[in-house]
Amino acid sequence: MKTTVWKLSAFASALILAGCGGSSTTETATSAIDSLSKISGTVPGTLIEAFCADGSYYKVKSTDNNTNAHPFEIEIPNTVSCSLVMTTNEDNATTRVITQIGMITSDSNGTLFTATNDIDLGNIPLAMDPSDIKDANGDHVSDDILHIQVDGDRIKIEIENPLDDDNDGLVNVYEDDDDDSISNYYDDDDDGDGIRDSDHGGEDDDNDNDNIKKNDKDFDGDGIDDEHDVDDDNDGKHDDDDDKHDDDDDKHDDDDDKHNDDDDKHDDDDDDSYNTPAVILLPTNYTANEGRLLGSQCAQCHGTNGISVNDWDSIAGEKNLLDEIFDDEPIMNAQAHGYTNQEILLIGNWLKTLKK
Amino acid sequence: MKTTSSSRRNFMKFVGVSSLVAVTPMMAADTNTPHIVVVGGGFSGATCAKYLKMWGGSSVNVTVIEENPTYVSPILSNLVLNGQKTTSDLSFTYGGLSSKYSINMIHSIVNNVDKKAKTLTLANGNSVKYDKLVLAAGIDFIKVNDYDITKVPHAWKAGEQLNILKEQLDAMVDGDTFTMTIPAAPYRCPPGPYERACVVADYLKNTKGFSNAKVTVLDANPNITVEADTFGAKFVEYGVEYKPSTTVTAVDDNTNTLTYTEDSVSKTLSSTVLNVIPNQKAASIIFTAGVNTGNWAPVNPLSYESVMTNGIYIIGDSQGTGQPKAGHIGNSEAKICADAILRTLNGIALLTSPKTNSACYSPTSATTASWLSAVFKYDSSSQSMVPSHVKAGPSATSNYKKMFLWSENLFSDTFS
Repeated sequence: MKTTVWKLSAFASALILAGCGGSSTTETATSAIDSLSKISGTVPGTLIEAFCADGSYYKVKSTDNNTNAHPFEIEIPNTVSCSLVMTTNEDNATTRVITQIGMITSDSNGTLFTATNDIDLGNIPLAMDPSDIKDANGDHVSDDILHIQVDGDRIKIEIENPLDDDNDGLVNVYEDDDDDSISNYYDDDDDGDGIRDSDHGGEDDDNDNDNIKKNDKDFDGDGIDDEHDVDDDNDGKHDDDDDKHDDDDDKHDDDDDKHNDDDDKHDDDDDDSYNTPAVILLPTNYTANEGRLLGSQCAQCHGTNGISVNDWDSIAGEKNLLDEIFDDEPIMNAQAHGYTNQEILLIGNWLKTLKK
Repeated sequence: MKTTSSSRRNFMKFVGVSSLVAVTPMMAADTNTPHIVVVGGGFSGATCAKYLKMWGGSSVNVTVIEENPTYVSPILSNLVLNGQKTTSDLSFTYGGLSSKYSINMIHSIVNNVDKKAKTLTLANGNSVKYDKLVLAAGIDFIKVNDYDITKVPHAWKAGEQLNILKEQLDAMVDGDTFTMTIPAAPYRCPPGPYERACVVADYLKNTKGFSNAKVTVLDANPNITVEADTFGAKFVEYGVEYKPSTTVTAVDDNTNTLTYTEDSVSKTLSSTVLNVIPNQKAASIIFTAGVNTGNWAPVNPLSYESVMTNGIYIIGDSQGTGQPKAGHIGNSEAKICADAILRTLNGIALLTSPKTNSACYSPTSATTASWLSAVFKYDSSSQSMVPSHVKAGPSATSNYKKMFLWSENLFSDTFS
């Protein structure tokens, strides 16, 4: 994603903002968090959401004060890093514009930050019309991050963003994983598997494109495993409070104090850190395969049998291995030079037999 | 996290209550199924067990004997020191691997290896019979004298040791000193000590904001052993004092004082925090089994079978092929070994041109990392593994995130 820097001090209100759809509802999580920081500012009629690294979720709508600058205040924990996303015309699928907010301090920038103090972001010039943003895939999510300059003493920028698996700055929930021009947030079927995400009562818990139909560890797809996610369905309520306040949601609640999901529908049953299938079909006898042995040496970086657990390439089913490995990451290129063409051919032939 | 206890593992816990009964797990129905026992559940041992079952399936029974129910990865562990990771972030349990691949787990220590009877005696009194034995037990330390490692930690096996060093580091105030010693090669994870010096120096200087904290590195080796350009430049940037060719001769845990030799002169140095990483040798079971020559275990690199005893294989840090001792290549060796064992059990000739690889990302600060990559090939004339292509990548912020992509897939390929 590209970056647009917005300097507060340099802002002159030259934008004509129209069509503010602002209401004034506010929904902020009440929780066990002791200390909150208040993020405030003014926007066009906007939904402001905060996705936080402990899995908690906060949202607020700006208040329509009959001007072009609707005030908002959102309280987020002051010890947990969070990422802000702002959506204008949020109730209208054809005109909504979704903007990932970034923060710039004198020495750092990023989309995940801990607000150690209250911050006034001033007036934020969000786009109101989809035609005003760069949006290559048409999912209404701006391809540019709107960076706002803030005092580095008031926030701490975090480098590693658990809410952003592909490290492009945009939080996972607003990615468009199946590239259907509908961002995951609004997509009934994030991963394009033909099974609606909302059919949780059936076989599909799969909001997060990890191809795990059962035992899904990250129900809300925010990148925080349910076990560590204090709000595993992103309903704005901490799971510990959910049972009392949110009866429609008993599948993802938590009766204990560990924020995990005791109903086992979204748990990590196989007791490892990665949600791979609990049992696999093992062969009844050994068959020698030189390409498989050579290719198994790719797994340290690309995953067992070519299935990566993260954003590094899965290579199962790879058809153009020779082109890929010499025209890629420097470290891949360095590794590739250690193999003969005959060995690469054997590895390639084996990879073609693997299912993606 | 949940622990799934399969009936199989419960079975294993309670068999052989009478300590003299030899146990062959899961062989009641089919006594012809070969039983492969892997001692050690780290990067090489866990990978070997997984791939033996993934490729050999029900044609083999596989048991892992590992002392600890939870494994803490040394890979990324220097990030515990600067607070970017915790030891629990780097912890792995075996329940998933065990149930997914039908691997028997025993959490105990092997006290004795009877090579004639092919039987192991465990600290819990049980005995386990094997057809093939894989030793993947890592390293042991050669301390220069007896001192308390809770006062002078090595932190070179992750877990408690690392947390001790972290506490000592966090108790430092500006003006204090941090001194670490680097063992003579070969030792576990060649870039690791230099990486640690960088991470600690960056943490003290840039995170804690100390302008007068001093980091000193005493290196038993004549030069920085790997990525010398990268680490050398970082030492200059951080003001790390680097003393090569120094030999530690004594450690005093009461006064936190080192005695060491530099240019044939004996010197002493006291430090607020003392992190002595001792010289290393193969794990004690290698010596118990009598498959060592000197400090390490010589093996045939086509199979990792001991050149001293048939049917015993040594992979990971204990093996003596000259390949680096580190998690990524331990995983790599384990696959060659697993495939070779399965070939041997099936009467199929060993491959004569195995390839292994080593790769690692090293953090050099809280936001940057470097990398080192190597592929090893078999040289038939010397019957050894030789590096065929080695390359280093410079310290850069772009490598920092890739470090986690690498480690996640490595962790998953090993423990899941």
